[in-house]
Amino acid sequence: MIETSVTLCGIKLKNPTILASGILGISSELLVNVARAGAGAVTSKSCGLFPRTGHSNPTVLEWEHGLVNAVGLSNPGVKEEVGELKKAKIKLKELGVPLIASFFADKIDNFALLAEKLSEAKPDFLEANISCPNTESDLGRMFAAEAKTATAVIRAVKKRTKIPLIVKLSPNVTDIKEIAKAIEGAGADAISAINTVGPGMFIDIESGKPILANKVGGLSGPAIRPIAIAKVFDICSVVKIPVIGIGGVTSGKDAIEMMMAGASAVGVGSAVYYRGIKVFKKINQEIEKFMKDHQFQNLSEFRGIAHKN
Amino acid sequence: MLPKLVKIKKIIKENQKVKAFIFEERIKAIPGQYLMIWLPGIGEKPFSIVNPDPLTIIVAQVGPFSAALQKLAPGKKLGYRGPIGQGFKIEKENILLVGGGYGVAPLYFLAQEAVRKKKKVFVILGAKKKGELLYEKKFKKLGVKVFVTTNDGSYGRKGLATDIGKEIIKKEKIDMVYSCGPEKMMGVLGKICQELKVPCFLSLERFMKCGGLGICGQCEVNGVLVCRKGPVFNYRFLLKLSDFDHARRDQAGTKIRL
Repeated sequence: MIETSVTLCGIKLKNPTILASGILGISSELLVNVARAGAGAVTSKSCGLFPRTGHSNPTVLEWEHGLVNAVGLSNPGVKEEVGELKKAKIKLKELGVPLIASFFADKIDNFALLAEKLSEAKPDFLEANISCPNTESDLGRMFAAEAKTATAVIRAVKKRTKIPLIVKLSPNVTDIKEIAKAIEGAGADAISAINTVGPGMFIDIESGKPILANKVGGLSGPAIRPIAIAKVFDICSVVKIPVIGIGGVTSGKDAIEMMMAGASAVGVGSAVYYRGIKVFKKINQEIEKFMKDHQFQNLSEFRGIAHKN
Repeated sequence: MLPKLVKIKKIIKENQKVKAFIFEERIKAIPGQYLMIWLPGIGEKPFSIVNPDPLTIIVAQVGPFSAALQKLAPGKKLGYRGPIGQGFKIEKENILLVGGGYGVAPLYFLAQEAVRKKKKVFVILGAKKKGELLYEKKFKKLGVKVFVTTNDGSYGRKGLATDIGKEIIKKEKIDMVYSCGPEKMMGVLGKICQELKVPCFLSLERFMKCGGLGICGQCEVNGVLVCRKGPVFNYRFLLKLSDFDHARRDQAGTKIRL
């Protein structure tokens, strides 16, 4: 019997695929649709204190090897978000699919305030998005850039909520191991990694203009998978808390690779573009097929095996 | 696919508010599909395809982006991504098209295809006033029977496009209705069709953030992505969605009443 469930911070996921933040997670109905499409957990789109329109269009481009985006953290603000999450939570509970509420802020205090407000909706996890690469101009340098700022966010948030806290890290740093170790020490319950890579830029050579309205955006999709695998491998070599591996996971094989690097679960985002919302079911079937072919019975049999000598 | 840049061959002023852009480009598309049109350095928005060969769109002056487009001259290049989305499936024999305002755009493409398929085609063109009427002559040229309504009565029948829908459906034995225009108008039309038991397909408009890639969710109506599952929907399906004819999301994702 093949068992693909996974327990993160005491909370059971039917399978290791998680809808990554920023993809489809804008409404309760979409979150529920993704759960029905086979996701083990779903993450809402990052929410801030107030409504935010984000960057102008074009915000997302597709190129030969992946996506690039500068959506700019558009969201309707925490007040509307709490209502939406409460609605989502009722249906998700029936489906047995945990809800992860993602949030971002410009200041440490606001991270704490948001965590407290979002906790009202009783999500199963909170995810602190401290690693958006597209908002430096108004939100300031990302908190994930240094251990000092990252840990300050975690300490402030942990004082205001009892809900398990996932912290989303950026690959665009000098030493991700140092940051991962520090946030584990500061009380983070789990790590999700990686946020988008870069930023990158596409210039249209006919007009000579950058295509994204924000000029630059974060890379995601197949192009960044090897980077994501390496970062997750590095993080898992220094922390004991569970890691959600995100970055270019499009197939069951990609998910297996991510778990072999040490991830407990995998985030799926850009793959929704490549394979539609049914990608969750497809990845899970592919994971099961791999496990059957290789006579694995549960995920822990191969999780982190790439670390063994 | 990154935006492909194509040259504007010709710009035609169609009425007080609308200009048609004809490009040095031909594409393969289905009526009802749309393109993301990019003006380098300015912005990107979805536009219905009016004609695939030569590629034609119409630009109504509604906001700063369309105002910037309207200032352009032939020779300038615009980018496009697409065609995207589910279009109209041409079925049955006696077809009624109902266009409100610049919603006429995809219906002109549809009318051409329907005429080519030997369907009997009728169209109601609804406009606020005479100066905002669109494509009356072009539809007539296709051999389509045209009915006109204006809100102020300055031309054609005074009232809304839907006011005459019921009698035309009955009189002309219409067995299929396609529409694009203000959602309130399409909501009324849908109810009429339901009452008369005539199938009805409607093209919706929503804010599209990710450019029709189906990943941001901003265009959703009760969890259904307009960018990919639409923009054309069967009215029967839309009846199950409580936000149809009621709410949309703005750029921040806040739900606002229509």
